[in-house]
Amino acid sequence: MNNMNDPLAWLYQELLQSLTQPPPVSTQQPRPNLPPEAFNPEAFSEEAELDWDALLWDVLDEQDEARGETAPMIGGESATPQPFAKGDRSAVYKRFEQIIRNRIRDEVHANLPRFPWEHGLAIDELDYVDDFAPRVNPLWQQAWLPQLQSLLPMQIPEQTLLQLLAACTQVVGSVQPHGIKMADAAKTLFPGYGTQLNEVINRIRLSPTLALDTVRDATTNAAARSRLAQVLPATYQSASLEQQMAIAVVLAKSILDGLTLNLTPRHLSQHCVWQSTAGEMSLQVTIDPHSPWGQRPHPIRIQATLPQAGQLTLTTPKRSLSTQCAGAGSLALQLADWQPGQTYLLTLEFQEDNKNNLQFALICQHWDKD
Amino acid sequence: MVTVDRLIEELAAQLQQETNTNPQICHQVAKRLMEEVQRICQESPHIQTSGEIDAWGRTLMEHRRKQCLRYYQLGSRQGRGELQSLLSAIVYQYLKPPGQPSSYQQRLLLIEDFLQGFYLEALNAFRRETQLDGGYQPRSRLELAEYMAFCERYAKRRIRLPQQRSQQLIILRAQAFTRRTPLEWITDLEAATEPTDTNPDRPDPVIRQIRAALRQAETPAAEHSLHDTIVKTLIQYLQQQGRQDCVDYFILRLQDLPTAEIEAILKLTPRQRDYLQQRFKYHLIRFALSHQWELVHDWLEADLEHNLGLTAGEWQRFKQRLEPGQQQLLTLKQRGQSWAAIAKTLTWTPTKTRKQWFRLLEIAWEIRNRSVS
Repeated sequence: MNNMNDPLAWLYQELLQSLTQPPPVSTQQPRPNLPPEAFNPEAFSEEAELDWDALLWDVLDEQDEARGETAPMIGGESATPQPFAKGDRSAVYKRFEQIIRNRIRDEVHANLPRFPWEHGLAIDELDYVDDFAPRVNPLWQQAWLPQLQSLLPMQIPEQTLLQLLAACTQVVGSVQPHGIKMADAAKTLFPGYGTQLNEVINRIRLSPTLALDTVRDATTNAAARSRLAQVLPATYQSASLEQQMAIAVVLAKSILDGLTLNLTPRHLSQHCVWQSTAGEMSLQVTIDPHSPWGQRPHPIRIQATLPQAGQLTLTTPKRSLSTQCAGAGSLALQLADWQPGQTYLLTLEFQEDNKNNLQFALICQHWDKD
Repeated sequence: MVTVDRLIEELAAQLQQETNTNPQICHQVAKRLMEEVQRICQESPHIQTSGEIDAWGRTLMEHRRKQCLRYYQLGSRQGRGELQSLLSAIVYQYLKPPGQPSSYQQRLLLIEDFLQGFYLEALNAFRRETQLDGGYQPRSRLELAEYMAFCERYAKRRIRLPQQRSQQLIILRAQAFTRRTPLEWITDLEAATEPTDTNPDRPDPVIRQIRAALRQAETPAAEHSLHDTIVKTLIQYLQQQGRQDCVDYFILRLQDLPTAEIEAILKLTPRQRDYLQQRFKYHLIRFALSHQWELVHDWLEADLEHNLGLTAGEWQRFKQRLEPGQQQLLTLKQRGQSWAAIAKTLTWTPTKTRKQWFRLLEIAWEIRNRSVS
């Protein structure tokens, strides 16, 4: 190793001194970035104008670096930094950033930051699971896809339909008003968008086209159906977010209607039909005010016609009534000691594996005859 | 021409494949990313006039997809660690208690405090721009990754400044933060942190000037300036010598960081730093004298055409001190011959040729130095 004799030390000083003299002004070009001391208060307003083009180059830069084509990576930690590319002045500063970044990592990982909604959480509460939405087993209730797909004259992904059916199943037995149940079911498809969904629901209420009666008619009335088809987007995926919300609400309403059997003095009989992959299932509930036996309260008669083996179960607070058939055929149940306004759950099991149950809500409104 | 919806579907499917997330969430994330890209494509003059809107759209989408998945794969803890480290490095130079020498630990505290406010601002911006509920918060791993990726992009957005300049958003925020930080807080901070350096930094005018020069290095300025070339070439040379540590030291010095802070960043004891500084000096001089001597001497206005910076009298003394071989070497160099040709003429190895030249320059410097004193 050479001695650091005086002339060389002097050279060092002179060299560094010259290194530090800024080049003549004429060679300077306008600088896109300001040094630390400069401060521009104008750039603080909310309407500060974004330089759109500039960020394009940043994106390309990052991509190039990720591919190892230029100077030190911003996004990665290479053990041996890339050689400085020719003509890349900012590589020096990028290297500085990388030095700091590598150094600061230790402190950061020893004291991980919390995001605004996480204040007060302990370290082991900072793990996020993959799937927050209610678990919907994609295989469940597939038997009922034919019914679900017939509800609206448009293409809707199976997963969406099944998810709605599952959501409706969860809420159908609750005592909330029908409109709330419908909204809750639709919301499961759009976590985080509650406010917007509520607005959509309000607009639907006011819209004649999407009036829910119209939709109901469309399942039976061909003319109504084709009118509706003209209004709806061709596919669910091609719809905007708001349109999807509207469609989800409409579907939720249709599904809930199909799962709710509401007996009133004016509607002594309710009937619904569900198309399944095995064929048509029909369900009828009746209350006959003129029962020959003169029983009070009049029993509710439940009758189901199944395209294949299945079981029908009615659950009351005190017990459950069940009946089954070994093959295609009819099932009947009777509920004598019912309470007005009480919701009863009627479960239809289809095939033995429990994956294609349908859950109905049966309510008989107040009855003050005789 | 592929439709927007198709692109969203594709992206949603990719996200679903790479993560174990509910398809509905994947779809919503994809939609939000797409809308952000669409906005850029609409607002960017360059994209609009380029005639390549589709290509740009795809490029920007791909960039976001990768970014999102990267944070997803890192997970909640490591992901936020990386985000915090990245943002800290960007604002490091801009967060300093005003009117005081900086210390590494002090900066860390400032940065932590600053970034907490920044994360909140980013969250509100995210909610606003995507029209999510005011109470929205990420719940699944993918949504958390989406938020972290958004923070990075938000930080790096460029704000227009006068004279065709722009600055990254987070840097502007950091500057404002520093200005707003009350003085008492700074004093408390100082009291709370340990005294850093008992030896006050010797005011080193050289280093201060280097800092001024390096401010040039922060910006893509004129590439043909000699000064620019020197800095880069020196760094390349140091790397070729396998002295990445010298490179890092040099870069930190050029940022005008005090010695103690450099030691903290590089994790060196004062003794180790001193040794490193010596190594750096050594390589710097080697660089100046032999590696790119024309470059350096030209810059110092001491090239052969100007008698290596020696006066007429000095020049005579200089030649007298040279050995015959060295005198020949000097003559051949003055004639502009290549190293190879010179070596051949003198029947020296290339190494010896260079070494002799090195020695020759040393003598010139010696003489010059003595005269100047």
